[in-house]
Amino acid sequence: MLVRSFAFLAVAGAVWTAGSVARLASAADAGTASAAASPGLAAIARAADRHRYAYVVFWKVDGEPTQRTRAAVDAAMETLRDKADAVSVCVAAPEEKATVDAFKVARAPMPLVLAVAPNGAVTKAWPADFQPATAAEGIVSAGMAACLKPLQDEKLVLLTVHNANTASAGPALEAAAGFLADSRFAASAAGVEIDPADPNEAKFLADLKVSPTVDQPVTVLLAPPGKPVATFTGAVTTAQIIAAVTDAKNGCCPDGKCGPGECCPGGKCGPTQKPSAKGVSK
Amino acid sequence: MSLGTLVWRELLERKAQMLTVAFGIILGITTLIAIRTISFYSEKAVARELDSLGANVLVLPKSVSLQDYYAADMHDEVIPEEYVMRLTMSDLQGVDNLSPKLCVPVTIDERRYSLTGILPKSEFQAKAAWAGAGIFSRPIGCGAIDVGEPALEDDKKSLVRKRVIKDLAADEVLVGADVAARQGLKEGDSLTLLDKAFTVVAVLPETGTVDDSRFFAHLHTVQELAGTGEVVNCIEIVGCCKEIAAGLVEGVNTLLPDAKVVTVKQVVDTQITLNRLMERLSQIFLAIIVLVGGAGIANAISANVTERKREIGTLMALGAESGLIQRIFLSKALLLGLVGGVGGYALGTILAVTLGPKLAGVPVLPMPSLVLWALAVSVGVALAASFIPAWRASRLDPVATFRET
Repeated sequence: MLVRSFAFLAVAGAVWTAGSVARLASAADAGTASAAASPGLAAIARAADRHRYAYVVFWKVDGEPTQRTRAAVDAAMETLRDKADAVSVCVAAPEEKATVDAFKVARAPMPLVLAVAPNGAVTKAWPADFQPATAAEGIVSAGMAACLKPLQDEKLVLLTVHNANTASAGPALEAAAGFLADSRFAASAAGVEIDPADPNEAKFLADLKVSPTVDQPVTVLLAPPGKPVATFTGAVTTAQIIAAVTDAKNGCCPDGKCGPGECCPGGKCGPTQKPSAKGVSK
Repeated sequence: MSLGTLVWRELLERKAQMLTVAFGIILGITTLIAIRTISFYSEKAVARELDSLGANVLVLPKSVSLQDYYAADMHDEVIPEEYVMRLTMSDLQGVDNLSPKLCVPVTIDERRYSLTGILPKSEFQAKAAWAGAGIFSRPIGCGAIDVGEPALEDDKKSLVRKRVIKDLAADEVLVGADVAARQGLKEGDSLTLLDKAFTVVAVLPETGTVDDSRFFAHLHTVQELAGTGEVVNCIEIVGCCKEIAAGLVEGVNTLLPDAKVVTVKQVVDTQITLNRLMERLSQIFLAIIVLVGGAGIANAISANVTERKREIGTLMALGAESGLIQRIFLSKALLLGLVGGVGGYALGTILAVTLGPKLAGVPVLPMPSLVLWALAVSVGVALAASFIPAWRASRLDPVATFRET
């Protein structure tokens, strides 16, 4: 499996991997000190440091549902013992405020189980009903986790799928770099690369409708929370990517929104009616 | 003696009888006008509300009736706020947006308004990506994508159109157009609601709906101020057409079995049923007016003709033609119809304007176009009912009338 961040994102990626506590605390507007003092965040960070998932059980009242869920998570950890650690967080405990704020789960149905990847992405949530048989659904490929994290941070993701067997990915990577350097999108977009031949990524690629035997580089533009907006096969330009974003941003209801009176509240319909850039499928 | 004088004297001859007949017509027309006016404004308000409504699925407490859509988020019944998270984190397909609401009454300068708590998107949006691995392969939304750009200055004003905004601070408030006009509020102003100081961050564009009379603040702030706990009155869901048809509503029902899930189509159907009921009621009243009012007029004129056979005979003996006799009675009916029509319109309009807002929950204004309709009905019924007695009067034999008396 090959997961590589673009060069200028590598430093940020390294910071992510190394400092889960600081990362989550920042998201929660909590200070690093309070985050470090939060047992939940600290446990998640310890798991991340060992490249393991954290299965976090958030609970409010230590009643039967909570005990049953904790027992189910413990049972699931038996089968995931080489991949994940269980973490228990009482949302009512003052010392866990940073953890609760980081995940914004104060108003969530309890007990809630979250699978947190080593990079900080929440890969699966089980509100109120966790079954050990479904625990493995929280373990996703590194490529998917790398995409989920920026998506959960409300960022666009530009995913480039390529390897030694595909034609030169140079133009696609240059276009992606150009897009990520554009002042309009620099702060709200992230780049991810994956190897189509990596068997771990097969399911992710299938979801994205990208063939693992593709002979051309494929660039997929993903919008939060996980919507593939455009797929470019072969060479692509920065202008084409920006055009796809602009289309999607202004467009609406390609499948027909049922808003009474008008299909599209913005009055601008829609990307499917506009001529698409060459080689772009939506 | 002119026709006008004859008719006038004829009317004044039996004042009590004429007043009773006129009152009957006025009462019938009043009812018709009131029902028609309220129905018209009720239908108009629903159409306007639905046009401005981005949401097409409503999640309500089980006990809330659909009979009054406008009260969908203005009732005392509540559902847990955690339902928002359940929806957000579910793998339901076709949920484009969510807008939970909690309404509490507030009073400013002795005027009552609604303080509506709303949850900005930033509070729950990211959780949509917690649904697991399948998120990349299922349809998530059907609207424009959010590319993470900073919110535009007028983003908050889009609340009236999109039903949800990106961010809202705990001390910020959005003000409906009517409230702003009445209270003289503008952006940047400060005000106190439920003993908490707020800053007006936007005055919303006029929508012609109940939203114009609301303050909008952060849901959690409203919950705290009102002491309601973590609850909401309703959750509006902007769903995608295809997925609604493919079972989105059933999916929400399964996910939230303790809530009532309805589509706007159901709301519209309910309103259409109500309007049809009003329309039928209106038709029944019309039939009653035609039958009872007409029979009353016919009876009164007929009795009048019988009582005044001698005077009719005298007029005819003096040279009055049968056409004149007929015109006297028809003119009398015409006058009664005119008085009934105008009086009924005026009373019906006053009733509709004063009672309409209380009965239907919508503002009701006079409908001048109904004057002609009221006149046509009342005059038509009066003339039709009087025609046979008037014709009988015109056919009287003067000699026979003197012989009989």
